[in-house]
Amino acid sequence: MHIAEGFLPWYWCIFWYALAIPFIAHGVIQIKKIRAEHPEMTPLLAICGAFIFIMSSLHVPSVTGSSSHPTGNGLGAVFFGATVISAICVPILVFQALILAHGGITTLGANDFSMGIVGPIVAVFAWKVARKFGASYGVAIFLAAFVGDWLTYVTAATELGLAFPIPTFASAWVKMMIIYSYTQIPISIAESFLTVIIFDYIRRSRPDLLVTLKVIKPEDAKNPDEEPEEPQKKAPGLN
Amino acid sequence: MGFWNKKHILFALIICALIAYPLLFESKAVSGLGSDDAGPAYMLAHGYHPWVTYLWTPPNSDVESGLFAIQACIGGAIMGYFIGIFHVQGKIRRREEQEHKKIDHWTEEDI
Repeated sequence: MHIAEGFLPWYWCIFWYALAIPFIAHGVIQIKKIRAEHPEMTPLLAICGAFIFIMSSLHVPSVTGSSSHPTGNGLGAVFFGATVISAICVPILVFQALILAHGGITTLGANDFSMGIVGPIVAVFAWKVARKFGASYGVAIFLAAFVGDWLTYVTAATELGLAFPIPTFASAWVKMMIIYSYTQIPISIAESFLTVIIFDYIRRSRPDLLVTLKVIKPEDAKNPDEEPEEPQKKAPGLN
Repeated sequence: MGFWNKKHILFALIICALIAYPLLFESKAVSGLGSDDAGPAYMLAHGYHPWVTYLWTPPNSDVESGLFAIQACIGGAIMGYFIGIFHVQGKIRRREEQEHKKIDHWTEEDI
């Protein structure tokens, strides 16, 4: 979904920057607030950021005959909200634009809008809807990760279709959708399974953090996979 | 019981299968254009000219792959470090819970 440097006309670059900046600013404020009020969340923030950093560096071949990279934006969006991810994505996209010539500074607003804003917002929405309809945490986080990843690419296809409506927006959009989103489906599925594994691990090791973030209910803080209780031994010297 | 149960092992196998299949049977997935390159290629083929270019690009594909690998390593190191912290914290938490259960048991029935 990294739109390359110079591949959006300047007015579209300004437009996507203008849309992304308020989300990014809110995200920065949210991160400062989280770190001030709950400093114990810092490692979880780092894990979510590092997960996006790793995922967006991996070029994964797809069964559709092309290759692409996962985004990793669903996990952090469910934990901290979409705007936090929009802020976390900025240094990642800048790093890739300057060091790897992947993405671009002029297209940073558009790339952040797809990967850091639309994807995470849809992921949070999917998580909330799935939980409301009684889905388990595993199913809900799977759906969140899937739509977060896939909608990132749908948004990138739409951005390019809007910027380059040749011969028409509809035909350009369909072409971009075939290039971007069709390839992404199996990669999104793989990423979603990985996200479920990481979510389960965090839920098992630090459920208190997820309770604080209101991701899981306090009564669900105990992992269902936990080992059965050992028979209680009586204290020595007591009847 | 460890973290990896049957469900997680099945998920890991599905991930491996989704990645291994195109590596083994879809040569275009490995050697062809990725989706990030295919979009711009389509635009160039239809007469678009980028109005700005990169300040710096990796000199060849090997350097580019190496840089991506470095990025993954940095991310992996950060994630591994904090996952390690969570792992130890989880162990301490479960041990403390067990101790509390034992103490609660004594207070309710034995004392």
